[in-house]
Amino acid sequence: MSQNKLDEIRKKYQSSLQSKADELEQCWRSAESSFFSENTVATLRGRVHNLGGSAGMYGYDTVAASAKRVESQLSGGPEDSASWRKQVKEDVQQLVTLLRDEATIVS
Amino acid sequence: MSDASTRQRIPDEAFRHMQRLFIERTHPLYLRFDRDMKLEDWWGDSDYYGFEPLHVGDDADSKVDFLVGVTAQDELELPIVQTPNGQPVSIHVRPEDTGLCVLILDAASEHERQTEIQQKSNEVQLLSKKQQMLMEELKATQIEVDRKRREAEAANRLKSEFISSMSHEFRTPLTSVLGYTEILENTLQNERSQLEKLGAISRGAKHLLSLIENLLDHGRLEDGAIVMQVRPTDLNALLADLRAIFTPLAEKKGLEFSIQTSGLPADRVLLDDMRYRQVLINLVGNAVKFTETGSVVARVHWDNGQLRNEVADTGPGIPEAARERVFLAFQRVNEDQESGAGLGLAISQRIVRIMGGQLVLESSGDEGSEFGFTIDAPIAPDDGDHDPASNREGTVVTASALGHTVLLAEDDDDIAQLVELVLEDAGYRLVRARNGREAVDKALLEKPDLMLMDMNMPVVNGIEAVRELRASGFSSPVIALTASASAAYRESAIAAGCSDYLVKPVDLATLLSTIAEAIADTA
Repeated sequence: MSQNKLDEIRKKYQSSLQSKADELEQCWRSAESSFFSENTVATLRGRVHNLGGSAGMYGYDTVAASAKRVESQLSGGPEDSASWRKQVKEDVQQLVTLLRDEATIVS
Repeated sequence: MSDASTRQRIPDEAFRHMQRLFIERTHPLYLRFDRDMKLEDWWGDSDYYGFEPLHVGDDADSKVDFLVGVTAQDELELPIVQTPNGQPVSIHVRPEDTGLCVLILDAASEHERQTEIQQKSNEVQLLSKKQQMLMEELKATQIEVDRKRREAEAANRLKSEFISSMSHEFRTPLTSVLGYTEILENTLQNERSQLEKLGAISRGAKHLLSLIENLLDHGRLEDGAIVMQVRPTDLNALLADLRAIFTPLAEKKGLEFSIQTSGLPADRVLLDDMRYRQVLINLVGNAVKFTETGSVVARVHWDNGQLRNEVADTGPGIPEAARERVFLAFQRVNEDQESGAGLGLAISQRIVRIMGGQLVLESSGDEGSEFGFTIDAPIAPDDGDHDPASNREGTVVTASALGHTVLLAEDDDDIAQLVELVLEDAGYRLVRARNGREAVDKALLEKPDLMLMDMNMPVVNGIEAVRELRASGFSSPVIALTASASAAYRESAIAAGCSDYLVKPVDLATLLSTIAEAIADTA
């Protein structure tokens, strides 16, 4: 395989991590401000689902594991409990932080 | 035939014999009454039936109580009546011109027969009642067993859910610890002492994570949620990896470690390499961990599609009392055992069973233990030129790839770019679709040799798209690509028409070999 091409798309993926973190944060805010409407939760779930698949394939195993964790919490649909909201919020924030940290590492 | 003619046809001697037999068996008592029901005459043994002595002129009802109310004109047949001494008799009353004739016959044998029939009938009724009672008891027992089974299943489910949820709870902060350790390691590349400390943190966290992964694996195996992903596997390469993992550990403890192979085919074999490796790592890992002096030997023998594995050590052995429970979950051989949740052998046993084998403790004594199992590992179909080493790197170009078109249905650009690069590099022509609708349209138009189908896509999801394609007669293999590892989801995808199922994040070498095999199968 062409290592240069591979390095290139890996770099491209890394450079997209910052915007992925921003999008994720935006999705979370939308979900929170809509009191976790089904649509906003589905959008959020879609983002973390894609992230769980792609991050793992690019070697970001920690990010992938964190995304899968958030996805599994969201997969049962929004719950009307403060502890659920608190837990998901913490996990989303952790995922966002991980993405931003990975985005800033100079390879 | 009339009575007279019968009488004429039977010789006197025979007739007299019949009379004797009749009299012996029935003890007939003949009574004759006049029109006023006064006894005129009798013949027979009245004592036999317990009647008071009879005299001419006696009233009928004063001597024979069952004749109370009977007149000289009555005709009666009483099948079974009891005489004063309890003898069962049959009574035959016939009016005559001058009065009434009464014939009393011994009915003991008839009575006995009827009593027997009645008893049998009673017994049948009793048995029937008993049967009914037993059926009801059986039904109640079945209900109770069902209830207890449900309770046990619920308790087991609760236990699994608890373990699973706790494991998830532990995994999140640990993942975070590991993630930040990685990040720090990357940023502190020149600060040796700090890197050493980080290494210690990382090793500890990885150990905890492996314990948790074991707990999660155990739960998934119990739920049947783990699906074997059988693929062509280079046994020589896999065992070389195993040797590389354990040689330094064994050397550090001063142990001799060897992997002895025999009959291994040059061709790849079909098995779930990840799970097979997991079992071997567990068995060899345990052997190295618990053996202080001597050796650890892994023997792998392949013969005609059967893969025999044995791991023997010279460790302390397993006490007899503990041998039966070594394969049970959460059981340790010694309570003072160094570490671990006691799940490794239980998980290995389950994996080996899913693979069609049985993990057995072959022997154990003062001089060590030996575990063994045999699984199916048939030769994988040939997919053309194959270089196992390059396969591991994910850069194989197979002859079968050249000129073949793969349609990639994937809405995520990040994954699509990576897959596109790898497949084009391997020699495939790539066509891309971004949702299920586009996938169906392009598949029918381009007629690709194979489709890679993400299951979670906008507009039309993967399962719907595959169903639609199969209904339209599309016959090329469709490999599902999904982040969902559940057995139920896999079954839905296969039922919809997918030929294979890969879970993201998918290893690129696995992706290439799966594609090559699927295309080779259709050739």
